[in-house]
Amino acid sequence: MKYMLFGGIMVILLLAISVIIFFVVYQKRLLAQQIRLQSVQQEYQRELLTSSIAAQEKERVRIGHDLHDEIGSSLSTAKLLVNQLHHTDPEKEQIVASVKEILSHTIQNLKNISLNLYPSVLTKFGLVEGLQYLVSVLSQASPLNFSLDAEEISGLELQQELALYRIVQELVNNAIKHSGAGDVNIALTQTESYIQLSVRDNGCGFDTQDPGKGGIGLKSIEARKEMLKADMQIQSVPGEGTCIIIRLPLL
Amino acid sequence: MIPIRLAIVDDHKLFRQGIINLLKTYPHFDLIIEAESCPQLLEALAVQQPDIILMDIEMPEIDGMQGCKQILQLYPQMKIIALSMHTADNFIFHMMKLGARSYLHKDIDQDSLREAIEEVAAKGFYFTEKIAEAMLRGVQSRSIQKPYMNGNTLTPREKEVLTFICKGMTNSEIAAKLFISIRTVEGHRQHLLDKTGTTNSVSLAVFAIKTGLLSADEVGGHF
Amino acid sequence: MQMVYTIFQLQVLHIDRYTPLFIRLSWPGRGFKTFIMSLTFDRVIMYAVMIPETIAVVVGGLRLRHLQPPLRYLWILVLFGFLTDLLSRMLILFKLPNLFLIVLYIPVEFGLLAAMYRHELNDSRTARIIPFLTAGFAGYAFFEIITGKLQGFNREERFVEGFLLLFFVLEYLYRVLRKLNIFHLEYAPMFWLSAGLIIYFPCDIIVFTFSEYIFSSYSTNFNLQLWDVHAILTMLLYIFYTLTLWIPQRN
Repeated sequence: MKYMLFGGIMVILLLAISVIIFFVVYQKRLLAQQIRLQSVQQEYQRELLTSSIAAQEKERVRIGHDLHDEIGSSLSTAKLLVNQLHHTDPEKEQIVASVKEILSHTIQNLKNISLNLYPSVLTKFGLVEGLQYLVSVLSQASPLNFSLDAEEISGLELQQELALYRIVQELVNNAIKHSGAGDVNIALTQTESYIQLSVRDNGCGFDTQDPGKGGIGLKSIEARKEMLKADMQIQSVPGEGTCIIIRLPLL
Repeated sequence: MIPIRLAIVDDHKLFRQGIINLLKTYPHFDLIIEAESCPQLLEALAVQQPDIILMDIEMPEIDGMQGCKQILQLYPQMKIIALSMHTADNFIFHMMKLGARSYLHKDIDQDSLREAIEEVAAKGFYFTEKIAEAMLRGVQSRSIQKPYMNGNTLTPREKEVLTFICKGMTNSEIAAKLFISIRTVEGHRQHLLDKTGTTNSVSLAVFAIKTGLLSADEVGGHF
Repeated sequence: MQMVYTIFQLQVLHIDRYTPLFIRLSWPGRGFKTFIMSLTFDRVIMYAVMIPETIAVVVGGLRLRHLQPPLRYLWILVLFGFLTDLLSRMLILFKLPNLFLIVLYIPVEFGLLAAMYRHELNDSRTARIIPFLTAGFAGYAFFEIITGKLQGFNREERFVEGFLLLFFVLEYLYRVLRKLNIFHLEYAPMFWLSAGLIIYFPCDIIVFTFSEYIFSSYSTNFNLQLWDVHAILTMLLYIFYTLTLWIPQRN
């Protein structure tokens, strides 16, 4: 009887200990599962985002490309043909001149629109060249001073370069529209572990705590930032300027 | 005066016809070849060669850059004037680097076009201010990015990329292996897909085996 | 709490059904010195139990500032247990009855442990009835004092206490699995407390339940050995208490 009792107590003791051990192991396993599930979900979300952005880009590229080449070509042809019209009648000559002007303007507009949609230089020559072209076009089109400090970038795929380019476009647009700045500087650098893009202006700045900066523009930057798995840092001093830094980690 | 023999290749019919009509007004220009694409042009070139070719850059399948390269390989004396809606320096510089004698914007006016053709025929080149600027930038720039260009049948490079794709390597790995940029690899990959009419790496691999490019066990374990 | 052991050391002064035993077990000599000379395993155990208790008190005291409110209850409990046992040993030395200490001890033990679990299991049905349970225990103790049942050996009370506490522990463990928000179980003090309780109480309940039976039907030796088991369990429990007080909470 004695041994039965002690044996019984031992059994209960061991049982209790094994319950604890089992519990710990089980909890850890459940936790690991949950973490894995979360990361899979996150991955999925990101893939969804990536593919929707890619689809959007494809559309834009297609439209921009067609606009630029097809319609642009036709308009140029029309202009050429119109140029061959010579009328002695001054009235008709006036009309021809007007047509020529309209065509010229339209072609120019087309260039601008299609540049926004389809960065052909980026597609064929890479991000840095694309940004250089953007800067040169912007310098001509607007009274602001645009400058670019960029080194050659390697290791990015087209979709990533395109995403960065779109972010720059958006940020520059913001600077032009809202900041009233005189100088805008874009800088692109690459280290072993990350690629850094910064857009700096000396405009009126804004209060970083103010959540008012919403709108679709910032959302599209958010979406691309998510897709790139990049961080964004906003530094702004009201009255002095704004600097926005995007950092993209490399694998 | 000897007529200058011209050829034009552009996939936009309207523009092509517009230019042709324009050129017709000049008696000393003789348009002997009108082509819609580079392969068509090459066929025509086998029969007779013009003095100057007016070549569009943006064309499907084989674009102007690739076409320029191919033609100058076969006919090194050929004078090519590039035509494009693109005005970016990079395009200008690269076409000139590939051997074009001039680069004209499609939005050009009649007189400039005539002048360009005449100058190229006489002197062998025609530089505008824009071209000069682009050349200067290109020459002074430290690193020149090579563009990715369209091509036709599988180029040797594409065959290499195909081999690596079938081995299951990622774009970055292939780029590192071949010392080219990831962009170029992507371009090749897309072209492989287009040319072979496949939609993914697996069908590419099947294609590779079918055409004897790779043996089955080389491709084997990766899919 | 190791005082239960001391019932065997009660003086002849208190005559109850344990009396026959006492005469045999009464001190061979008088005073402290003679006690030290007659060390046996039982006696060593009896005093060795004080060691983990002291350690627990000291550790708890040192970390008192860093402890969160619920764990402070534990320190009070540990302190109370230590003092109670100290008192019981002293009472033995002076050959005074010490059974009444149980009556006081059980409600306090239950009250403090239950308070901790109430804090942990907040807004569950159990948490709400805990105060009433504590009041119930206190009331029963009061009742016992009034009716002078101080020599009783409240097996049933211990059983109920153990049962209830185990229920709290199980609910806590269930919650941990449900919520899955504790990443490092080893760093959760409540976990160590629960582990200690789940190991201690089932075995202790058996000890208590069978002690009466063993006492009346079997040899004294057997009974003593049973209480040795209890002593070892208590030491284990205090080791867990020490761990609970010692672990810095990290999550």
